[in-house]
Amino acid sequence: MRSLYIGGGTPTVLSPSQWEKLAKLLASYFDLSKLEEMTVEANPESLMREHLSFWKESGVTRVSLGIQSLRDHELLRLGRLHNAKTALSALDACLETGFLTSCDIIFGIPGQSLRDWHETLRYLAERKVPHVSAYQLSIEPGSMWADVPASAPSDGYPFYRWTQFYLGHKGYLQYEISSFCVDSKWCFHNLGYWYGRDCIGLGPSAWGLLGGRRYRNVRDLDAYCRRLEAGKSVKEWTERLSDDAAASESAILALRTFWGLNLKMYEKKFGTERASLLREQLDALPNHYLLRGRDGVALSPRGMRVGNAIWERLLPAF
Amino acid sequence: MESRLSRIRNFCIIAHIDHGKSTLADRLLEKTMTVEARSMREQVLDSLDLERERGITIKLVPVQMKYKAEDGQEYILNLIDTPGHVDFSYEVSRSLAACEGALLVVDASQGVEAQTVANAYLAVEQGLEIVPVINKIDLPSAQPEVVKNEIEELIGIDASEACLVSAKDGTGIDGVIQAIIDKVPPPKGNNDAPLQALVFDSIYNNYRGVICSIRVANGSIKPGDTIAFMATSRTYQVEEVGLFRPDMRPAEELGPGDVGYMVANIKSVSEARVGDTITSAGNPARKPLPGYRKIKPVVFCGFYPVERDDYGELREALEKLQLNDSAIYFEPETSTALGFGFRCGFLGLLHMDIARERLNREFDINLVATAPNVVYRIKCSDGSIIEAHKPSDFPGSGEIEEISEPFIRVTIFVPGDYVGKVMQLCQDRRGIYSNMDYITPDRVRVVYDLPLAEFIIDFHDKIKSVTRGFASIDYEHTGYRVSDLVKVDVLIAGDPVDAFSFICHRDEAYHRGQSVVRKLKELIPRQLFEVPIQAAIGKRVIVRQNVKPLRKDVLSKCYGGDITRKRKLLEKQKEGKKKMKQIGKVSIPQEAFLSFLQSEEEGQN
Repeated sequence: MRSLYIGGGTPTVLSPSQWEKLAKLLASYFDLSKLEEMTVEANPESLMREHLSFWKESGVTRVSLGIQSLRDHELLRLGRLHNAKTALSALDACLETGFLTSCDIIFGIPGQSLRDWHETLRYLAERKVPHVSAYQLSIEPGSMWADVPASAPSDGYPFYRWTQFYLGHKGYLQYEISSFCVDSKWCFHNLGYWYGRDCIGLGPSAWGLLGGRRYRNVRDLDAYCRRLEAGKSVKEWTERLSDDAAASESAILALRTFWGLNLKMYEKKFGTERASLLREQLDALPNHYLLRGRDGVALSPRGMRVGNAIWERLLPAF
Repeated sequence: MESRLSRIRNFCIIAHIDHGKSTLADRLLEKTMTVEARSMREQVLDSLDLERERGITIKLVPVQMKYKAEDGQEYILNLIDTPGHVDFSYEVSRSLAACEGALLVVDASQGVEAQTVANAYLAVEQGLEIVPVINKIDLPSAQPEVVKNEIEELIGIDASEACLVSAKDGTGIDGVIQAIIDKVPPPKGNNDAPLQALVFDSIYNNYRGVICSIRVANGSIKPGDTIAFMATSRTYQVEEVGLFRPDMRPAEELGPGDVGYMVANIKSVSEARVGDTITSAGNPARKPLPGYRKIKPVVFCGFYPVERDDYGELREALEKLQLNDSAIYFEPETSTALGFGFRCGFLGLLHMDIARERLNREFDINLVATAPNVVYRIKCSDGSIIEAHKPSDFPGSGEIEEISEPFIRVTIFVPGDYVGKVMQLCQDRRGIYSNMDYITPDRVRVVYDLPLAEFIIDFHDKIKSVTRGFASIDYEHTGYRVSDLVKVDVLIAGDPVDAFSFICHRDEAYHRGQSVVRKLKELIPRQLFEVPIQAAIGKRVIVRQNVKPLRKDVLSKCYGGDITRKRKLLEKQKEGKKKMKQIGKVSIPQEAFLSFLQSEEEGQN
C-alpha cells in the first residue's frame, strides 16, 4: 500500500476522539508508516486545531481543503456553511501545521465574475498553496440552480483559460485537467486513478478497483453495517470492462495528465492492433492539441480544454 | 325517351371557398327530401373528414335529387359538386363536362373572387348555362346590387335575374331549383348509339375496388356489359351501376343524360382515369368524348418517415393513396439526412398538403416533408433535354446550355389600397407584369406571370399577410420559360453537400447563398478544427463563413467513481454524434438538414 485517502464527504465532522478510534482501526490492518502519501479531506467550517495536531501525529501528510471560493457571495450561492474568512483561517492553519495543502475551488458559479475568480486564484497563489484543484460547477437539471440564469458563459471557457494562464504564470504545473501544483507536489493517490492502479474502497459509497474489477459499496450507512454484520459483501455494484473498453479507458484517463500516454507500454499491454487504431485517431487531430515525446503523447493545454471531444474519438466503436 | 331526357338537369356549383357552396348543397338536398332531416349533417357531400374540417371540397361527390315542379312534372336533378381549388382544376373541368349548367354562387358581401372567375370562365368555355346565385343576403353587409354588377363586369353574363338566397336560413332555395329547371338545358343523347360515358371521378373502395362516377352521353350501360376504357383500351365486365342518392343505390341501367356510378372489378384508379371515356367493348364508339389528358405533377417534394423503420409502411400507404388519387406520383429516393424515402409529385401545394395529412390521418404515418420544388427543364450542350426534379439531377455547369422553369399566370383580386404592396411582392418574386384593371372603384385585378418556384415557396402566405387577408389568388400554368438560373452548391469543409444545394435566379444567388450559409453556421456545432462553409456557383465561391473550433469541452473532475460515470457520459456524447451525418471530417446534426429542408423559405426573405 502506497497511499491512503480519507475523504468523500466531511471527515472533519468526526471529533478528535473518534479520529483516534479510526486511526487505531486502520493501523490494526495496515502498516501506515510506509505510506508515501496520506490525505484527509477537510471542510473549513468543521476543521479544528485538534484535528490538525492529531493528524500530524498520525502521519497524515496532505490535507485537501474544500474552500470552494474565497468570495462570500459565491459561498452563499453554493449554500456553503463557511465564509471567506473561515476558509482563509483554516487554510493558514493547515499550512502552518506543515501539511501539504490542496484547495478545491469552483468556477461557473452563478453571479461569479472572472474578476471574482481571479481574486480566489490570487489569494491561493500569494499564499503559495502547493496544490489547487479547480472544478467547474455543473448545474444538474432540477437542482436549485437550474432556474437561475447563468451570468457566466456556459462553457466556462474564460475561467478555465484564465486558470491555465494565471496559475501557469505563478509557477504551477497543470498536471491534470483540473489539477495544478507547484514543485512536483502532485497528488500521488489521484494519479493512481488515472494510471489504473488498484485501489481498495472502504466505507459506504466508496469506490474501488481490484484486479481489473471496479466496484462500489452500498451507499446507505445502516445497510452497509447490516451487510457487514451478516457477513455479506458490501459491494453493491461491480463492473469488468471488455478488453476494448479497458484499453480505451486507460488511454483516455492517461491523456488527462501532463505525462500522458506511453504508447509503447500501451501497445505492449493492449496489442498492436489497438495501438495502431489509437495512433490513427490521434494522428487525425490537429497538431496543436497534442504534445509528443519519444514514446508518448499528451494533450497540450489547448488539447486539455477540449478533452471531451478528443477522448470521445478514442472510445471503442460500438 | 325524349321526355325522360327533358326532365333531367345536370348541374354543378361554382363558388369560392367560404361562399357557401356546401351549405347551399345541403339546402337543396333538404328541399328535395333527398336526405331526411334527421340524418342531415353539415356538408353532407364532403365525405372526407379533412374536407369538413377545412371547409373545402377535394373529392367530387355527385348526388341525384328528385323534385316535383310547379308544372306537375317530376324532375331529376343531378348535382355534381366540384373542388374549388386550382390544384384540382383538371377535375373541375371534367366535372363541368358532365353538366349542362352551373350555379355560380357569390357571397353577397365579399363579391366575386379570383378562383370563381377562373372556374366560371371554364364553365362558359364548356358551353354551360350559368345561373348566378347571390348567397348570404341575410348578412347586414350584403350588397347584392354591387355583386350583380361585378358578375356582369367580370364574367360577362346577365345577372339581373340572379337568385337571391340565404343558404343559411333557407331563403330563396325554391327559386334556385326553379331556375335550374328553367335555365339549365336538358341533356342530349342517343340511346341507340354506341355507349359513351365520361368518367369524371373515380374513387377506390377497399371492398369494391374502383367506383367510377360517370355521366352517360350516348347509349346505355348495365350490369353484365363488357366495357372498355378508351384511353387505356382495358376491358372489364360491369358488376353494378347505380345512382347517388347521395349514398349508392343500384339501378338496372344508366342511359343518356344519367349521372351515376359503375363498379367493374377495377383494381386501381390509374386504370380508370378521370376524363377517360367508357364505351362498349363489343360495339365501341368511334371517338372518345373530348378533353382527356394525362395529368402531370408540377410540384415535387420528398416524403420521409420520421422513424427510419417505417419506410415500408410509408410505401404501402403511398400505394394505397395512389389507388385513390392517381395524380400522386412517387419514386424511391435517398437523402443524406433523412435516409430512405420517396420523391413525390403533386398537382399543387394544396394537393401536397392534403396527401401529407391523409397519410398522417388515414394511415397513421409520421413523416417529414421536404420543401417543395418545381421541375426544371435543362437543355444540355449536346442537345439533350433533362427534366430535373431536384438539384442533384443537374449536370455540371459546363454541360448546361440553358435552363427553363415553369411559369404561372397569377390573377390577384385585391382592394385598391394594397395594389402597391401586391405589385412589390410580385416584382420581388421575379414576376412579369401582365395587366391590371379596376373591377369596381375599389377592387383591382392584378395579373402577373410568375415563376412557379417563387410561388410555391410561400407566395400565398406572403400575399395574404401584405393584404391582411383581403386578396384572393388564382393561377394557371402557362408553360416553361428560359430563365437565368444557377445551381448553388454548398460546401462544408470543402466537400459539396447535395442536400443543401439549391437552384435560384443568378441575381439571388448571393443573397440566398448567404442566408443558407449563415443558417448552417448556427446549426453546425463547433468541432475540433475550423469548418469553412461555402456557397459556390460551379467553382466560384460566392459566400464563405467559418464555424470556429471548439474552445472548451472537458469534464473537470474525474476520480474513482467518476470514471464510470464520465465514461458513460462520453459514450452518450458519442452516441449523439453517431446520429449526426459525417460529411468528410465534419459531423452535421440531423436538425441542420431538417430545418434546411423544411423551412428554407424563412431565411430567404
